[in-house]
Amino acid sequence: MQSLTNMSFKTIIKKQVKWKAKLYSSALSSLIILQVIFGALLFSSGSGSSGHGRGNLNVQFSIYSLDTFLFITVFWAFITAILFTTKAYRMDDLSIISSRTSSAIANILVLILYSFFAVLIMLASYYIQILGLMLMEKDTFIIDKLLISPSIFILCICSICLFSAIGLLFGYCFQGPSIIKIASIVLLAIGIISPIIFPESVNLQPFIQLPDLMLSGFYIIVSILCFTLCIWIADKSEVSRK
Amino acid sequence: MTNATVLLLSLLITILLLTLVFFIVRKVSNKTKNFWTLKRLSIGITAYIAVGLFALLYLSLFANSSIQVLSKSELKKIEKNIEPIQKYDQEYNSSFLTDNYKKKTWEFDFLGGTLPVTINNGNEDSSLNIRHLYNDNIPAGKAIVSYYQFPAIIDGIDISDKIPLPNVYMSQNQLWIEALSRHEVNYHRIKASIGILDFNREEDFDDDYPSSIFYLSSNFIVIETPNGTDIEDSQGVIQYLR
Repeated sequence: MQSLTNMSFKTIIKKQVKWKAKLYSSALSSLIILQVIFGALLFSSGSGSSGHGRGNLNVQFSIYSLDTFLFITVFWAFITAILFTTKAYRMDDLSIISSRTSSAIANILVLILYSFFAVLIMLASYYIQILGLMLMEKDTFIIDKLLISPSIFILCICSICLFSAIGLLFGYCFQGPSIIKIASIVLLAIGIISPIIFPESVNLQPFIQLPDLMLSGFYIIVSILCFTLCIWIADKSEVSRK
Repeated sequence: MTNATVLLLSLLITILLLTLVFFIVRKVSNKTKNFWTLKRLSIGITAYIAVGLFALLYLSLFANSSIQVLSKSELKKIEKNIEPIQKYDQEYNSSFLTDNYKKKTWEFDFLGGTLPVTINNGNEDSSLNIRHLYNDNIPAGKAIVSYYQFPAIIDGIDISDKIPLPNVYMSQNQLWIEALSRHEVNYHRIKASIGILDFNREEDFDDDYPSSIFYLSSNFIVIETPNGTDIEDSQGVIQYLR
């Protein structure tokens, strides 16, 4: 501890979370802008479609599911988490930071908090789009399932958390000791190259088959692993700012 | 224009549009930098979530679709009702042609003891099921053409009302039956779930009952003529019924 004030680790993190949550709130507004843009672009086509043709009749179904909004949100979470580790964001750290570890823990907690808000924003975008659709396309509007199930809600939060955890780990990898940097670059290269060279080796089907809650549990485990690694890397990093 | 040119042009237009948007956003953000204080930002985010919540409440209270998604039991019931159609048809038995499936009737007068019929399917995909039936109650020189539409279901939606009727007319003492040109129907389906998971999960494929039924013989055109009047079918597509 290098701080002159006598504060417990818990208090430091609490203050950091409060500070960072307020400081980075513009990230949530950028998510809203992204959702609005994509919601408007995909207003008439939805997130998927299926077509059936028979005789002189073609039937086209535009399916409005959560997919598009979820993909945008997880992508946003990944980028935001990486940005949290950049120099510009580190400069904004509250003066009471005494170690990189507390900063990393605060970042993790802020990302978890933001993941929850991101799901709310995602659902708000979805239902606003559906309301607009109902008002404009009343004659061709079919409701299969209007309310999101609690298991899907949990799965969405966990998915966003997972991608933010991966993003954060990705960002921290380049701050840690050189061995971690090299290892992360090698792992990244393998991760990118292997699906291209051996496409049959990447089989996500068994994961997709899992029930929603089990899938959420799996995401939580991977997220915890990533977050723990982030804390470990932060702990190994130099304390002083470059 | 070749595909490559179109691709290149669309890429160029996208880049130009993105650059334009980037400059506009940069200009606007410089001006609104001071406007988006933390308080205003929080209000904006909360308001967006509140609008989404309002949309959800409105949809759950007032959203009603004129198009009904048939349940499995309803589908089973319909299937049971229309199951014997093909069997009766193969046995040349007209008893499946009941009035509740009759959609339209045309009456024509013609000269002579033979009625020439020309069928124009329009395109290769469409096939009209045309049947001939003798009716003692029809006076000589008169023909009645009836169109029967049986339930046609795609993905749990009855689309039988959307199937365009054929064009039936009499010209130069000859009966013409023409299928209408290709017709497209679009539906917007709301599924508040993750489509990619639903699509890949096995339970949809393992389902013992399909949600999509489309009978090839979902519509019939029946030409009724008095006893002793023959049909001249040069194309050999008309089947006789008793």
